[in-house]
Order: sequence, then structure tokens, then C-alpha cells
Amino acid sequence: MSANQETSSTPFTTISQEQFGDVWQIPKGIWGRLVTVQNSVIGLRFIAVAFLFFALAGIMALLMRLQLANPESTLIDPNTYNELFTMHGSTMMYLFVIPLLEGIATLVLPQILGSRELPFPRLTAFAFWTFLFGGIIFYSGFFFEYIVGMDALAQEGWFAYPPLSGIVFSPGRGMDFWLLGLNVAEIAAIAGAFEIILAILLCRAPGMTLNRIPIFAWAMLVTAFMMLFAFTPLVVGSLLLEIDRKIGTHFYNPAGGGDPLLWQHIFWIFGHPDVYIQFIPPAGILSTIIPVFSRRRLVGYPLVVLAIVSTGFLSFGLWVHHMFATGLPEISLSFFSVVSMAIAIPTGIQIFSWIATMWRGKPQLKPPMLFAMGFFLVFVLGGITGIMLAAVPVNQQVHDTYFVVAHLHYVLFGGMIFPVLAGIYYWAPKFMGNGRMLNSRLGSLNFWLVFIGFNVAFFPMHVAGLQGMPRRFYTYQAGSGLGILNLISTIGAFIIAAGFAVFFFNIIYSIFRPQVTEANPWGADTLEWGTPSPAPQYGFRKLPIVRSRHPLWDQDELFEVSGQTKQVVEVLEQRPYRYRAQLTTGVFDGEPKEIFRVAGPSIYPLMLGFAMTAFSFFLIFDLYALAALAVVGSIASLVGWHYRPNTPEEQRTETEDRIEALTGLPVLMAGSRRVSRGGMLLALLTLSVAFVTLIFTYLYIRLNFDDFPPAGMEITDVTLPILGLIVLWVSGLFLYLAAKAVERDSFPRLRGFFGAGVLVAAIALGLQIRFYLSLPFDATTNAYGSAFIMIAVFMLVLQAASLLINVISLFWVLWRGNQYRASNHKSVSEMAIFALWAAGATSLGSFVLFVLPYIL
Amino acid sequence: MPQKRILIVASLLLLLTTAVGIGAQNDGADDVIPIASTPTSMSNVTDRPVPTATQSTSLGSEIEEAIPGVPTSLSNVINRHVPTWQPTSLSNVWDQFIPVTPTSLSNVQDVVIPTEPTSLSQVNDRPVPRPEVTSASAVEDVNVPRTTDETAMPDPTTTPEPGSDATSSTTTSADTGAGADTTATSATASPSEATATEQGAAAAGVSSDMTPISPSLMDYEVSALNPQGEIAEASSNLFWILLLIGIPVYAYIIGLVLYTVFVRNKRDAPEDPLQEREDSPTTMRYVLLNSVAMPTGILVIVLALTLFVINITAPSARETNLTIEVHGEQWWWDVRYPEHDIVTANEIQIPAGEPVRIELRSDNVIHSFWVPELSGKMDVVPGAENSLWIQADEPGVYRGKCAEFCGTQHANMQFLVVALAPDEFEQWVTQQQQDAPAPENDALANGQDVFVATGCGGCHAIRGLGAAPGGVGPDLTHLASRRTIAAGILPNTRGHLGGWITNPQSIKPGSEMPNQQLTGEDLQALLDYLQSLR
Repeated sequence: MSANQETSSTPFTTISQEQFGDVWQIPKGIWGRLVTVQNSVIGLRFIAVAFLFFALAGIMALLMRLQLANPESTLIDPNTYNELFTMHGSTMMYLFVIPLLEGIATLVLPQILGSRELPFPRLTAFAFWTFLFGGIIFYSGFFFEYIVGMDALAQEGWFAYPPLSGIVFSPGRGMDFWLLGLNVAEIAAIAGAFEIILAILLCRAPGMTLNRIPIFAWAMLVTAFMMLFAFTPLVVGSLLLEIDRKIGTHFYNPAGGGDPLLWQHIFWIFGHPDVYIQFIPPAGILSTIIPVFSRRRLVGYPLVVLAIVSTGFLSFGLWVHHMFATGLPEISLSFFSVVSMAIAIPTGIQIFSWIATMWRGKPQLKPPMLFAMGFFLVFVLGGITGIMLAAVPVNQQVHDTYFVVAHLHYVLFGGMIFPVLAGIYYWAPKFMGNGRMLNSRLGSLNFWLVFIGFNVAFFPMHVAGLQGMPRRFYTYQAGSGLGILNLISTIGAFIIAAGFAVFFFNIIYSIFRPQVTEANPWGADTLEWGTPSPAPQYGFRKLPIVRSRHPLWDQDELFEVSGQTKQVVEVLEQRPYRYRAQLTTGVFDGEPKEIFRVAGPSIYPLMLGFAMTAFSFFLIFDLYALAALAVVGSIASLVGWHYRPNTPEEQRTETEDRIEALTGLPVLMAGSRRVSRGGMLLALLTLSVAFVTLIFTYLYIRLNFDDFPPAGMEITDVTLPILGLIVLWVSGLFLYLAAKAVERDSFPRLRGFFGAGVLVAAIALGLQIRFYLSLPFDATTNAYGSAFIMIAVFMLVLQAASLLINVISLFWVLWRGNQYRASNHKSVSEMAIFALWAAGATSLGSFVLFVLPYIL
Repeated sequence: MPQKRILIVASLLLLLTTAVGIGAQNDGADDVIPIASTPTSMSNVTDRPVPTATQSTSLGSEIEEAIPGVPTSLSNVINRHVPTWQPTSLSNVWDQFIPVTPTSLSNVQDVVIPTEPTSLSQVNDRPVPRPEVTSASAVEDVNVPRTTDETAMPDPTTTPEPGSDATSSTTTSADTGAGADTTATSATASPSEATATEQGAAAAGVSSDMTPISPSLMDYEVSALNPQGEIAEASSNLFWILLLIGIPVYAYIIGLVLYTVFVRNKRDAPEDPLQEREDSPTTMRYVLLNSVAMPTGILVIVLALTLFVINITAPSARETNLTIEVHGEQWWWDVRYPEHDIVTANEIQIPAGEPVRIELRSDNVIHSFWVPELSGKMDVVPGAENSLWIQADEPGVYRGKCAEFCGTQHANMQFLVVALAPDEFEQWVTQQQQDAPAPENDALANGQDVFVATGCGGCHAIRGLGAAPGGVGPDLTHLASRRTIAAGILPNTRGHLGGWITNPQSIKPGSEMPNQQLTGEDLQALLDYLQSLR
């Protein structure tokens, strides 16, 4: 659309669309598919693989329903049934919902924000590969169980409560497959969260201030932060469970002073926000779709944003409502009851904003809107039963019964599946291959089958639960009066299956019978509809300049603005085109800040994902030597990932200087400073959450001990760790000075300080390792020992990671010293930040280990 | 103005729910039970199940004391019929499960299934194992449970086999039932035969104490909405109130959505809504009123009720005189009365009408103790010392289940709570405190020898039988006095017991109990002995 725009304000020659698009081409061939990092490709892959897992989990659900159709059925034996519900729940929660939403975000976000690409394309690719490989490890359990004949499928439920999931009661490798496979997939979720946060905060169209970003982006932003805060504790908690199993630590073992409820706390600190992680993005989809099909701006945009943000906060304060029956003090039950009810209010704000939008508009019942109607009917009912569940006495009756099964499916199926299907019908014309519209008749059929089937399947479960049918029962007695209810549910489940068969058929049908549409078939307001259908790989060649929340409704001309921003946009339309160029914008004001080169195709995300998967896989089978090899492979992949060859294409030319002169923005061929700073801060945030989780674990375990530290485990001589800590701070100071040296553009000082920092950090690490090796106890002594050692290991790993990164960087600083250029070496400041943060974390950890027990 | 109408409707709703809430609170103000079950405006609407004795009259004078009520109207749809406890003498341990005449919907479906072979549930429900005996022989079978010599057990190696001819051995029907429980054997029983049997049995049950127990007659039904104790009643009342609030809220929101899309949209939707660039204050007021003010009002009420009810349901809410330790095992319940030095399993006897403390212990995995008619759940967490109090207002048998997933046989980890009149409870205690009686005759001594020789004592303790270590499986000292075996799954009949001993792995696959290879005589002797452990 922009090729014909007048370009008189730039001195560059106009280049053709082919020339411009060349660098954005998807690499061809099998190799090309492996190295692709583009958001459009990776997003579709995420969605496709997530639906594959959805289909598998759905088939498992049907098998369970067949078993439950009759009382005392012997169709499926109890252990297989337990495997089925474990795999069904885990697949849906970890391998379907989260990856699907991440896929939609990956696909839609750059264009809806008026950007060309996500800020870390390789991280996106890495997230996809880890998700895929994690899922494959998880599902390889079927292969190892049924072909190899070992015990490789978890049957402990998707919540895996210890001690049942511990080594004593689950001696097979099923739990290891579950824990390690899903851990890999959770890393994908965290990686995706980084990407989403930075894309929304830093990579938007010029002029898209924070209060103009689409609600969907707000929803994804809040969700991504929640993912950092929720998945990180889960990863830590799962690792603790895994080392309980493999090494014999005592975190969850009551005999050793641990506590099975600790796992429940950690799990539900993840688990409940996870429910909202699954609901907020679909709610964002509804906030996108309902205004479009009502032809009315969303009522109460600021209110809805506020509601989303407060949902995010509140969702971390109600995990205990999954634990009302665990015997916690009544006062805490009351508190969590209050918060659990309070969260209805922000959800209500969104629902009534949508209703008001339809009220003030002219709603049209096209397929996306039909699914939105399904959302209202189903989700609101789940919300009502949710309030019932928040009432402690009612909860204690219906907890862990089919009433809860019904409730959670009403909120998740209603709150997630219906809006996401609405979103797929809505966005398909833009993002599915060649701009194809999904067939709307099949869409209606799809809706009605799923909607009717859903209610037939799940409504009777409310009654079954009240009639005393607990969850995870592989059978029930013939005289229990539950037969008819279960039979109805089974029939409903098959109607749902038919509905999804229609959905998949519709996708295939639309691929083979394309119904190509115009660029903006729905008359929508957001930027993604401003590109042609199908959209080119780079989305916008000429970046739109946003002056409204609804640019396509309010702006006659997407690019018309005077002054510097116009200049930036017009220069970027032509140059640089030898590499993938991208703009960063201000977090709040949306003003252009930097032009940077965004990473292109690379095999290293796949290699790193593969190496990490191999690591997990070898751990499952206790092959530690091979696992160590996989760690080396991971590090090598990381080095390769960041390595930039010293070829002429990598060199700055005068074009870059001219762009800088014309736009007044820095052109950063080594990547955006702001994006890498943001990435570093998010990494530190994630690591901080992990560390806080460990400290929480330590304090929780403290409650189980009368004497803390237990007799004979006191630390008497803390000279070495204190000395190590001081030396660590000195090394951080050196690295800080090295970063300052880059700012002053002094290569000798950089080399000197950096070298000194690395050397001193190594000494600090050595001192501490020596101390921790001389302890009179180890991690298997009791839960205190486990928690103590785990915190120590975490601190040491942080320092070792910092040291490793710095050693590699030092090597490059010295080796490529002759090509020293301040703009290429600014990442030294990121390393300084990391080193200083590691010193801070070590200080906190040392305080917890050496001071806290003696003053509490 | 349409908004005005909505405002009015919303305010009315708020007022209504507030009034309902206040009404509910007032009802309970001067009563021990906060939400009174006396007829109030609200309970009229919901027809909450109120314990009533009216039903018992239709069953004859013998069961006058069968107090657990039969829910009426609305709750009938959801509720089941109530387990009708017949307070018989302790010697008649077999026949505690007497079906009420089919009054509720579930009764019609479940109890009278065989008479309606065309009904949906008949087609799909797995045929229930039942005795292929006449009512007369059934009565006889139970009447003389101790004269076991006539009940010739088939060879145990063939007994549990699928496809064994059920009709060939009419006198060992119960045994066939047990074997059939895990197979489809009982499908051979023609529906009409079964019907006759069952009706005969039911008739016998009503006319005399002697009811044969078969799985189809055993009461497996429970309902959280059929409260028989204070906690369950408070929870169930709260549930009905929340439902009563929830239904209009749901109807209001959905009605609004459907009205907007289907009615208003056709009639008076704005011409070009895109022209409206700002949200009018009226619109915002509407949103805020509905999404903040209304829910806050409702939630404050709900919260107040919840906190009020927590005061009843909390584990510390009542002082108790009797403490029972219940240990969750994989997959059964070990029941101990520390004050009385009693150990039993899967059956918790309590005195009716008084609060009893249940201390929950586990040294394996997490379980959850749940007796829907008496109380909500409490988890049994290793390393924790959870407890709860329960109370059964009236004598009766209440089924409980494990509600936290605990492994392979989680589904079949059930138990009974038996509430006895206080004096009968005393009798029970006295009886349970006895050691197992020494064998009275050679046949029983022979059975005891089989018990020892087979190694049963390695897992199962029988007090008075030497130094059996026990502890792994249920204590069997007074096995014959219990109503069920296999953790509440099977009735404790000779047939089921035989089936369970020879083939537990087909009844509860994965159970700790191994299949036993016993000769016919040994099995008979063992059964004789076990059935003498009253």
C-alpha cells in the first residue's frame, strides 16, 4: 500500500517491493523451516501444534467419558484411567491453552501494534521449539509405556500432589516425564512472556501512546507479567519435587521436616493465576471483537484496562481457595474467601462494558459474535458457581467433586475456548495463509454443536457433584444413582467432539476452497487490518502513525503527520533494507527512539531448545554424563546464538550514518539497547521471583522445626562466605567501572576493569564453594539442609552464570579488540547489572541463611 | 430512557437479594442453627430438604425411628432417597439397608430399573449383580448366616470366573454376585427374574428385619443437599441461598445480553454508533452500577453469610466428648477409638445427636474425609494433625468417600458412618472391646487354622488370635459386625466375602490384597470363621 507514496522528503532512491521484502523472505526448504524465526510462521506453528495437543487431550476426555458412561464399567482399568485424566488436564493446561494464547499473541501483536516483528524473534522460535520438544517428551511417555513397556506415564493428576507424586508412592518414571517434560514447556511460556512484554512496551507504531494500545495488547501485557510471576514458582517447585525424587531431599517429605502442603501452596500460587492467564487474553479478544461487530467503540476503555490490571493483581491473592479443605486456619480461609469473591468485580466490569458496548451499538451475529454469545451464556454461569465455591462451607462440600469439574469447564471452556474460537474466525482472513475467510455456515454449525454439546456434557456434572461424585473416580457404584447423569455427560462430550470435527473441517475446507477477502472484511478498527490480505512478512513497510485508539475508524490517512515522525516513517520505508529493520518507541508516549536490526533466521534457537530437551530427557533416565554433555551443548548454542560474524554485511556503512542524520535516531546494527536492557530487567525479575520462591520455601519449612537450625546443624564460622560476599561486590564494582569505560569510549580501561572484574568474581565464587563444601550436613539430612543447600546452590549458580557470560565476553573483548566500537560494546553495562544483582541476591541469601535463623 | 429501566431493574434486584439475605439472617438470629429450617419465605421457595418423619409412616411402625427425611418436591429432583436406618438389635448386622418406597426421581431410576427394561438407564447401566434367589431363600440365607454348612461354596477357582453359570446355583447367588461384580456375569440374570427377586427382597425387608443385601439394594447414594447433621445443613442452606441469589443474577445478565442483541438491536439500535465518540455519563453509570455497586452489595451479603456459617463448620466450632482417630490408608480407612481401645475399619460408629471429633491421620499420601450428608471435606495430610467435628442428628447410616486423589483405587475408598442411639453405641463399644471369641467348634477352629496358615495374619490383625502383627490391612477382630467389606464397596455377605478373598484384584485392581488360592473346603472354613467374628 505504501510503495506509491511520495518519497520526496528522503534523499534515498525508492526501492522496489521485491527488494524491500527480500530480507524478510521465509527461508526455503527443510533447512529454511528449521531456521525460520518470523512471528507469522512461528505463531501459526504454535497454534497448529497447540490444537494438535488439544485434539489428543480431547480424545482422552472421550475415553474417560466412555468409561464413566456406565457404572462399574470395566472398559478402562483404573491405572489407565488415572493416566488419562492426568494427561488430559496437564495437556490442556500446559500444552494447549498457554501455547495457543502465546501463538495468537505472536501472530497478531506485531501487526496490531503497527510494528514489523517481535523484538526477539529468535526467542520466539526458541519458545516454540521448547514447547514442541517439551510436549514430545511428555507424550513420549505413551511410547515408553506401551511400546517399551516401562512405567512412563504420570497418573498423579495435573496437580501432582506429593507424597503421592513422590518416589515412594510413584516409583515409576511417569512423574519424571511429567515434571521434566512440562518444565521444558514452561520455559517456553516464560520465554514467550518476555517477548510479549517487550513487544508491547517497546515496539509499537509511532504515536501509539500507552492509552491508545488495543485492549488485546493490554490483556497480553498483563498476562505476560502474570506468567513471569506464576510460572517461575511452578518451575522452581517442580524442580524441588524432582530433586526430592531423584536425590532424596525433603522439601515435601513430612518425615524429614518438609511439608506436602508446601507443594500445594507453590502449585496454586501458579495454578490460580494460571486460570486468569487463560482468561484475560480471551477477554481481550472479546474486547476486540465485540466493538467491531457492534460498530461502537468499547465502552469504558480505561475502566476495562483497570479491570484487567486489577484482575492480574487479585489473582495472586486467592490461591488458597483451592486449599479450603486442607486444614488451614479459619482466619486465612475467610481472607481468601473475601479475595475470591472480590475478583468477580473486575470481571463484572468487563462483562458489563461489553454489554454496554452492544447496547450502544448495532451487534451483528456473524460467527465470531456467535461465539461471543456462547461465552456469555457459559462463562457467566461458571462465574456464579465460582462465587459459590468461594464460600468456604459450600466449597468444603463440593470441592474435588464433579461440581468443580463442571465449574472449571464452564469458566475455562466458556472463558477461553469460545472467545478463542471467536478470535480464530475473526482473524483467519488476515493471518491464515492467503487471506481466507472461514466458512460462516460451517462456523454456525460448529458453534451450535459445541455450545449444545458443552452444556449437555457439563451441566449434569453440577448435579453429579452434589450427589457425591468426587473427581478422579474411575468408576462409581451401580446403586449410586449417578448412572443417568454420567450417560448424559458422555453423550454431550461426543457432541462437542462433533463440533470440533466441524471446526477442523472448516479450516481444511477453507484452505482448499479459498474465499479470499478484502483487506478489512469486518470493517475493524485496529492496525492489523491496515495491511493487505495476505499480509507481507514485514507487515508494514511504511509504518502507520497512530493518532487514535481506533486508527482505521478515525484516521482517514494512516501516515499523515508532519514533522520528525513523518521523516522517520518515510526514511524507514526505504532504508535500511539490507537487514530487518525495526523501530522502538517510547513506553508511554510512543515516540520513535531507535532504529535497530532485528535478528533474522538462525538455527541456534532450535539447537538450544534441543539441547535443553535432551538435558531433561537424559535426567529422566538418570544419564547424568549425557545430561552434562547437553548442558555443554546448551552453552555452545547460546554462544552461537549471540555470535555475529565479522563479515562486510555486519559493518556499518554510510547509509546508517545518513539515516541517523535524517531521523535523529540511533541506528543499532547490534540490536536495540532498550530491548536488551528490558530483556535483562525481565530476566532479573524472573530470577528474583525464583529466588523469593526458594526463600518462601525456606521460611515455610522453618515452621515445621522447633529449633531452627536444628541441633547439630548450626553454622559457627561464617568468615569464608562473608569474605566471598565482599569480594563479589568488588567484582561487581569493577564491572560497573568497565561499563563506565565503554561510555567514556576507553578501550584500555574497559579491558582492564573487565578483566579484573572477572578475576575477582572467580575468587569470590571459589571462596564460597569452599565454604559450602565444608558444611557438616547436606541436602538429604533433613528439610532444613535441603532448603539451605538449595538457596546456596541458587546463589552459586547465579554467580557461575554471571562469570561464564563474562568470561566469554572477555574473550571477545580481547580477541576482537581491534574492532572495538563503543556502540558494539554497550552490553557490558548489562553484564554489570547482572553481576551487581547477583551480588545483591547473594547478600539477601546470606542474610537468610546466616542471620535470620538466629534472630527469628 | 432504557438505561433508566435497567437502573430500576438492577436496584430492585439488589433490594430483593438484600432482603433475602437479611431475611435469612433474621431467621437464624435466635436459633442455634443460624439459617433456620423452619419454613420461611425462602425455604418455601426452595423447598430445602427439611428433615421430616412423615415418610416413615408409610413404611410401617417398625421404622418409626427412621428419621432421616425424604426431601420433597424441588430437591427430589436433585436428591436421592434417604438411607433409612432401621435400629435393629446388634445381632442383626446384615440388614441395615432398606429401600424406601420409590418416591423420588432417582428412586424410580435406580431401584425400579428392572421393571422398566425399556428405560434409558436400563439400556445403559451395567446390569447390577443381584441374587438369583427367591425371596424365601434369600430370607433364609440371611436368617441363618451362621449355619453355613448348607451354603455350599463353589470351587473358588471357578467362582469368580466370568461366564460362570449364575442360574445353576441358586443358593450361592450372593457369591455369584460378588464374582460378577467385576465381570459381566450377572448379565445372564434376566431382568424379570431379578425384578421378582428384588421386589420379593424389598417386600421381605419391609415386612421383617431380614433383608438380603445385594449391591443393588445397598445404599450407595449420597447427597450434599440432604443434610443429616448440623454442618451439612448449614452448608446446604448456604448453597441454596447462593443458588437463589445466583439464578436471578444469571438471568439478569443473560437476559440483558439476549435482549440487547435480539430485541433492542432490531427495534431501536442507533443509526451509526461509530459517531458516538465518547461514553456518556449515563452509560458509565450503568456500567459501574452493574459491575461494581451491584456485585459489591451482593458479595457483602454472601460474605457475611459465609463468615457466619464458617463459625459452625469450622473444626473448632464444637466441644466434643468422643474422639475418633481415622487413618487414611491406600485404599481403606483405619478407625481407632483411643479412649475405648477399639480398632476397626471402614465403618465409623458414632452416637447420634452429639458432636464427635474425627482426628485425621495419614502416614502415606493425602486423602480427604467426606461424608456429604454430615459434613464437608477435610483433607488427611501426612505430617499434619487435621480434625473436624461431625454430628448425625438421628441414627442412620451415612456413606463417606475419599475425595482427594490418592492413587489407583481412590474411587473405591469409601466408608460408612453409622450413627447409633446413645445406648446402642454403648453396647457397640462394649462388644467391640472384646477380643475375638475363641472358635466354638471344630469347624471354626479349622477356619482359624486356615486363616493362620494362609498368612492372612501377616496383614490383618485379629485381637485374641495370638501375636498377629497386622497393621497393613484392616483389623478383622469384629469383621462380621461390619456392614461392608472392601472399603465400603461390597456388602458384607458370605458370598461377597468369598469373592473378595479369592479375587480382590478383579474387584479392586491394584489393591494391596493378593488373590488367595484356597481349596473349596478351606475357603468355606475360613468364611465360617470370619463370619463368626461378630
